[in-house]
This record gives sequence, C-alpha cells and structure tokens, in this order.
Amino acid sequence: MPQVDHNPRAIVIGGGATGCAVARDLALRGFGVTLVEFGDLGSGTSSRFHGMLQSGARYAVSDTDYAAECMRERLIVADLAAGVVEQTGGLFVSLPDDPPEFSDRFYDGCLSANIPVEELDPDLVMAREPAISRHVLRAFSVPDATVQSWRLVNLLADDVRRRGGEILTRHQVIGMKVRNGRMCGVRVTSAAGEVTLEADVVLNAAGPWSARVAAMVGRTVDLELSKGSIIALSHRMVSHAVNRCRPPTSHDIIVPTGTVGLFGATSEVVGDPDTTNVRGQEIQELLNNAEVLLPEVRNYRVYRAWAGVRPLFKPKGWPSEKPVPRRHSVINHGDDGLVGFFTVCGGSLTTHRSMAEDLGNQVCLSLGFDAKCISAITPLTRGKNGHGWRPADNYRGIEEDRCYQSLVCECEAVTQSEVIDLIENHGIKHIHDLRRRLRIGFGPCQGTFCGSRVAALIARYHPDFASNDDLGRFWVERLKGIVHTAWGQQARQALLSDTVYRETLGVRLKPELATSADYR
Amino acid sequence: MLHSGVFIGIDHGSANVLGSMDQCTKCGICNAHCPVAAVTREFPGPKYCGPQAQRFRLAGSVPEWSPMLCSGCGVCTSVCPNNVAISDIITLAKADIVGGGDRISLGQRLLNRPDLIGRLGGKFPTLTNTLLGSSIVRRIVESLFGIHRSAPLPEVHGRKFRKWLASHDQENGPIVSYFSGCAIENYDPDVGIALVRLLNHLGYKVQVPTDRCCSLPMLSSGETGPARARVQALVDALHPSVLTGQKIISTSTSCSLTLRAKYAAYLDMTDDKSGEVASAVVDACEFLLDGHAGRLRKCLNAMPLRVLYHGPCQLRGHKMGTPAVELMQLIPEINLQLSQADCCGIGGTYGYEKNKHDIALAVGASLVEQVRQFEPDIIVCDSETCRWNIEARTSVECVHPVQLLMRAIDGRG
Ligand SMILES: Cc1cc2nc3c(=O)[nH]c(=O)nc-3n(C[C@H](O)[C@H](O)[C@H](O)COP(=O)(O)OP(=O)(O)OC[C@H]3O[C@@H](n4cnc5c(N)ncnc54)[C@H](O)[C@@H]3O)c2cc1C
Ligand code: SF4
Ligand code: SF4
Repeated sequence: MPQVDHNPRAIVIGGGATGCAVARDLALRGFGVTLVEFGDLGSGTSSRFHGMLQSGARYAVSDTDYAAECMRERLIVADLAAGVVEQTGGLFVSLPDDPPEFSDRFYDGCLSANIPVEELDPDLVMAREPAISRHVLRAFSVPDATVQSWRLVNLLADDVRRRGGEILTRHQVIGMKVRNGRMCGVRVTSAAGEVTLEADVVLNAAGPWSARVAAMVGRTVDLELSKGSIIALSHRMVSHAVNRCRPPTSHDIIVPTGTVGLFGATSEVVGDPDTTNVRGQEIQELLNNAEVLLPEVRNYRVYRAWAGVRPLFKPKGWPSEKPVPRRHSVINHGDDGLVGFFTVCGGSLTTHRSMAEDLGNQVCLSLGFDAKCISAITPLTRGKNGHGWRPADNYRGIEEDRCYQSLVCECEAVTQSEVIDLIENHGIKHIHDLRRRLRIGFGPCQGTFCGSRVAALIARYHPDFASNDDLGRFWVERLKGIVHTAWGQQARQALLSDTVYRETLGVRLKPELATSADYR
Repeated sequence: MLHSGVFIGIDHGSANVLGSMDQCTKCGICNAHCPVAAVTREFPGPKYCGPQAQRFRLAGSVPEWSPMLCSGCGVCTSVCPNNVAISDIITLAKADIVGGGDRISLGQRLLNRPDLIGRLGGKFPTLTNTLLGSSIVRRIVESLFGIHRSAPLPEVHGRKFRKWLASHDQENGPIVSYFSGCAIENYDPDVGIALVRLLNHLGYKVQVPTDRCCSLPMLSSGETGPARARVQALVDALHPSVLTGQKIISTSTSCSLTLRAKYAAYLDMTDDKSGEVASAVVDACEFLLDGHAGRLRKCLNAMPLRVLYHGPCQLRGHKMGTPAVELMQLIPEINLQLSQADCCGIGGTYGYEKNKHDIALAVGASLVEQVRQFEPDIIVCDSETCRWNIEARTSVECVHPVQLLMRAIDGRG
C-alpha cells in the first residue's frame, strides 16, 4: 500500500449535499480540497427533494439497516446544523386502503432500527391534524424532521472554505487526466475558459450525473435514475410530516416546510438525469392520490410543481426483480484499474454525512493516509447553533426590526440587507442563486414582484449585470414550475405575473431559454 | 396557534375571512390605496399585514406590532380586485395580539366602551363637558390613559334622545325600527331626532328597540372577549322587531356595517338569528332613497349652500354606492362638492390614541386642505366619529345627511 507523506489533494465533482459533505469530510481530515460544481451549490437533486430529514421509519420494514443509518444521521445533522432543521416530527397513518398487517411490521421494524416509535390514538391524531383523512385506523409517531437543503449545503461549503478548501461553482468537469493507470486531475470549463486541476484523488459525487462523469474515463456506474415529482400547496396543511403506513411507494407523504406543504412524490425510471420537467398528467395523479390522505386538497392553491432524479445504485449481481436498495455505495474504480478515482452514489440527503464518511475512509485506506473522520463531532457553524429553524423566523425578524420599507421578497419576508450581504460579501450575482439561499420567489406570486427588486440590487454592485437576461432566466425557471399548476386562482396569478415580466418590465424570454430543460 | 386546517370544511365566519388570503395575487393595489401606509413608514401596508403575514401566522406564532397601526378603515378591502377580506384579516390578527382583550391598554379599554362613558358622564353632563373641555384635565387624561389631548371628544348629552322620543307624539303608520346606537343615545341626539321626524314626515312610525352599542370599537381593536356577550344581548334585543318583518334603520354606516357583516367575521356568529338581524339592517339613506325619493323631492325647499360631502370609509364596505349624495342632489340649489380624501383619519377610536394621533392628522390633511379651498357652509358625513373629527379639525359644522334633508324640509336653508 502506498504511503503519502504530504497532505493529499482531492477534487470533488458535484456540489450537492453529497459532494459538499465529501469536501468537508476530507478537509477535516487534512486534505487539500477543490470542489467543482456545474451550477450553483445544491442546484441539482439536493434542491428538488421532498424536504425531509428522515427518521428512516419509511424504510423500517424494507431495509432495516438503512433505516437505522437514517436515524443515526438524522440525529447528527440536527445536532450539527440545528439552524436549518425544523423538528416537525412525523406521523405514519394507516388508511382503509393500506394493508392492515403492515402496521405491526412497521412498528417492529422501527424498534429493530432503533427508531423511537409510538402508537397513537387515531382520534387524537385526527384532532391534531384536521386536514388529514377522517378514516385513520392506526397511527404512529416517529422523529421525522425537515431540513432547508440550500442552507445546509452552504453551511457545509462555508466550513470547507474556512478550512482552506476551494469551491468552484459554475465550473463543469469535462474530462479527466489519467497517468499510468492513476487519476491525476480533471479538466474544467467555466466562463473564464478551460483549466486543468491536479490532484491525488478524484471523487465523483455527481448524483444522477455520476454515471456520465464515470463514463468520461470509460467506467460504468450502474445507476437507476428515478424521477420524482412534487407539488407545493399553499399551506402547510399539516404540522407533522404525514406518511401513509404502507410499503414505501409513490405519492404517500405530505411534508410541511416553510409556509407551504409538499405532497409527493411520483417515481418513474428515466434515462436522462436532466429529466426535470413535470407532465400535467403527473400532477393529476398526485392530486388523485393526495385526496385520499388530504380530502380537501383540491381546494388549495398549488403554487408550483417540480421534479428531481434520484440517483439509486444497483450493486453488482442485484436481482433485477428486487427494488433497488436505498443505501449508498462507494465504488473504488481502482478495483478495475483506475487508481485514485471513486464514485459515491445512492443514499439520500439525510445520509449525506455518512456517505462522505464511508468514502473518506476508503480514500484514506487506499492512500495509506491515516486520518480519522471527525465530521460528526466537529461543529458545523461557528458560535451557538441556537434554536432550530422556524418557518416564521423571517417574519419575526421584520416585526422586531420594523424594517418594512426594505422588504425585497414580501411573500417570504426577505430584506434588502440579507440580499446585499450575499452580493457584497459572498460574490453572489444571479437572481437564482439569491433565490436558493434566501427562499426568494418561493411564495404565492413566485417571484413576480421581487425579481426586479433583486435585479436592481445586483446591478447596484455589478454595473455590468445583464439584468434583462438574468430576469428572463429567472422567470422562465419560475414559469416551468407554474404552468402545470395554473388553474383557479393560481392561473390568475400566473397571468398577472407573466404580464408583469413581459409587458411591464419588458423582459425578453428568448426561445432558447424557454426550451432549455434545466437552467441553473 | 391557528392551524391551516382551519380552512377545512368551514364555509363561513372567521375561517372564511382567513381563507380569502389565498385569493391574493400580490398585485399591491391595496397598498397603493391605504391611507395609513401613505403617511407613515412604520406601517407596512395591507398586503403585508393581511394576506402576506397571515401565511406566517399560520406557520407559527410571532410577536407582532404592525397590525395595530391599521385604522380599520377598510379601504383596502374595497379596492382589492380579488375579494381578499384584508382589513378583516388584520382585525383578527389584532385580536390575537391583544389576546382577545387580555392585553389591551386601559385607554383603549375606555374608548371601547362609549356607551358606558356616555351613561356615566350623562349623569352630570355639564360637569363632564366642562371638565373634558379643560386643557389641564385633557393633559391628565392623556398621560393616564394615552388618549391624545386634542382628540375630538364629543360632548355628552345625558339621555336627550330618549327623553325627546318619550315625549314625541307619532301618528300611526307602518312601523320601522331605528337602531340608534350609543352615539345617538349619548352624544349626538340631533341626528336621531332628525331621522325620526323625517320618517314621520314620510308616514312611518318609528320604534327604538334598544340603546345598546354595536361594539365596533371593541371588535376593531381586538377586544373580542368581552364583545361577545354584549353583541349577543344586542342581537337578542333586535330580533323581535326583525321577526315582525321590520327593517332596522341605522344612521351610522360603521354601526350598520358591523351589524351586517362583522359579527360573523370576527365572532363566528353565523347562527340563523344573527343572520336574520344582519339582513334586516339598512342604512338610513339607502332606505330613504329606495322608494321615497319622489315624495322627498316634493317637500325639499331650496338650500343655496356650499355643502361638502365626505363619505366615511365604512360606506364602501356596504357596496351600496353613495345614497346620501343621490338624496342631497334632490335639494334644489344645493352646491354640493364631494370629498377627495379616502379617509378623514380618525378611524373610529384610532386617532384618539396618543401614539396614533399624528398619523390620524396626516391622513386627514387632504380633507382639511379641501375644506380650506372650497370653504363650505356645512360638511355632511354619515359617521359620528368622523363628524366630530372633521368639526374639530376644520371648525365647520358637520352633520348627518338626514339632518341636512330635515333642514331642507323645514326650510332652514
Ligand atoms: C423527488 C425526490 C424526493 C426526495 N426526497 C428526499 C427526502 O425527503 N429526504 C432525503 O433525505 N432524500 C430525499 N431524496 C434524495 C436526495 O435528494 C438525494 O439523494 C440527494 O439530494 C443526492 O444528493 P447528491 O449531492 O448526491 O446529488 P445532487 O444534489 O444531484 O448533486 C450532484 C451535483 O453534481 C453536479 N454535476 C453533475 N455533473 C457535473 C460535472 N460534469 N461537473 C461539475 N458538476 C457536475 C450537478 O450540477 C449537481 O449539483 C429525494 C430525491 C428526489 C428525486
Ligand atoms: S383597513 Fe385601512 S388602514 Fe388598515 S390596512 Fe386597510 S386601508 Fe390601511
Ligand atoms: S389588492 Fe388584494 S390581491 Fe392585490 S395585493 Fe392587496 S390583497 Fe392581494
């Protein structure tokens, strides 16, 4: 086994939850780290997910080991990053359509996975959650929570930077450098041109794109790409994340996050990791299923819909009839002749840290570099973590400071100073990137009135800012999620919003923007 | 904490008010028309305080202040193209802030009981009026109760209207009920007297079933707890007249709007009895215009006066147009001008509070300016606190439309 005497250099491909966790894990072990992300941090699957920091209960029957891992990680994440986690708690409810024998297996599964589970009186649960079906037969509580994924990935990335690592966003890996069967760097392109970055190891954490990345050096990663679509309802509707108590399938969860409720998700095997469009038919399918759990759901506005692609991994020799496991895998491509190249895939956002730990251990082992994983015990934020994330916190801040005149996004109560801080001190110069970090444009009007205000602020600091183009991209992306949910009052909203952008602001929606599947 | 499940399966009352938040398309029209937001940076406006903030209120409880600066004028609701019950949403938020009245200031508590103050002060009207006319006393009241020293407090009149009515002979005719309310009973008897005489003139016999207060000041400042029993007693007192098919006439657009719509919105009183009372209520001018204009025209004498009409904010909430204007236009030779101001600023008891007095003055500034330019002989307005406020600010006599009509009948132009 080779022994390294210097601190190794690592390149991480992908700036989702996994990539950011990998970069942090290695930075904590003393690696020199460069993370390369094609879009903005967390702009891939990690932002298109369902919002849950899972207790694992969902997998308690089908995969007890994975469920136990979720539970462990859920506690660690909530401890390290309390400020981005809302402790909603979760409920599993058994409805007349659900297999009755499953409930007992579910309960036992949770116990085996060390998930604190408690059976509740269905009447009590229905009283506490007035929006759910009146036909709950059995109900269980589990410690599910929700997590603000963009804030999480940015916390991870900030910690990497603090430890000397480098984060390159809007940089795409387009090729690899291999010398004598060893990976020694990557070729990267960005607005500034093409460069080659050297490293001792290259770590592929490109989520659903990781097969494409591996293919650059002729390696296969056997992913099953499973597209999931989600709708955002105008209210939380429930105070807990509510799951159907049945073997995990599609459309069986409502998750309260921020001021909205997310219902989903569908699942459909796709060939292309960029398949993030939602079909109208999927929305109807979602609503039909939602109605069973939330009988009045059709009376609520649906703000938008989106889809993400789950990067599930089929281990070698996995029987084709069995559902693909959820647990992650680390592939050491050194095993098939390419030393210093690893891929990590599968898993979930909840287990991003343990995925990184597992990968880090294998990387250290292969390099003969002796450094323990300390990501679970090293605080993620400087200073006190304080209380958990509360959806009304922004509003609270504004009422406390009475800074009404400086509101930028009224729906999500975002102020000028928050926007300016990111522009001035973090080099952010796209409306989209501010949107992700601050929840700008997440509310009922989907960015109708804040977009131009944000553009004006960016232009104040970056005189060469192409505001019309950036607004166009912003609005096309917002529209992409609104078009299929534009009925009733949301249709009225969409028409007003579109008029504001195109007629009042004179924003040109270029045809190439309108057809681009995935602007990030 | 209010739960968003509150909208489910309920199709009336406060749930309906809150549910209307989802109609909002964030157009900002309400903000552009809010008279308070126009004059102070401390108030974020109806869009923010109403449907926007409500999203957060449903997601977690937050200490708030901004709703308390809303004057409750209802302009926002009347301009919203999407029928969002904006000012009602804000009023419900106020009720939450003051804990249904548990955390309400002493001064506001006093202002919320105009009937009680009127009855107490009415025992010794001369003494009370002299005292409240003294600037030293007003300073003390201001520091004790936070009621601004130059807020337009009306004079108390004892039980003048009742006494007059008791000794007033009415001929037999179709009976109508008059909801006089606490203002007529205690502070503004002349309006009541004018209405009864006018209705008698048209052949009606007027009965006054109760002298209770509609409790609007309590409801609009969030003191919903104590309001409930008072409102129930009022509904009980009015209901027998309604059962005999009588209309309930009101000379105050704010009292009548409260009776018509606010008990359901703020107190969830959606029972049949309250509903029957609500639908029997009619504004005095609306009643007079509907079927009596022809007769009135014949008996109105010429009145060559410069008259400025200021429609109170609450008038818009009735969605009945401006019946007072149509009636006054029947008066020969009248020189009638309409107020350009959205609001006179007083907002019921709003402008009485020390910390809101300046806002109220600023809101009313455009009306004062119009009066200065037009130099009316008399100002007409359908709501009592507005009249007291306008009179105090402009030193021009301010009367109810029925008073003007009665003067025209009497030939006292
Ligand atoms: C609908 C849905 C719901 C889900 N719900 C949950 C949930 O509730 N809870 C949970 O824990 N998990 C959930 N998941 C799973 C979870 O979202 C994913 O497992 C997780 O986000 C994957 O993160 P990642 O970092 O591996 O991938 P990604 O977030 O996709 O990150 C990969 C990144 O690599 C970048 N990249 C790709 N190619 C290149 C290149 N050539 N050069 C540079 N960068 C490149 C991409 O831009 C992307 O940002 C859900 C998934 C879906 C689809
Ligand atoms: S009721 Fe009047 S003061 Fe209150 S928000 Fe509406 S317009 Fe403004
Ligand atoms: S006017 Fe109505 S729709 Fe427009 S912002 Fe105000 S509440 Fe919303």
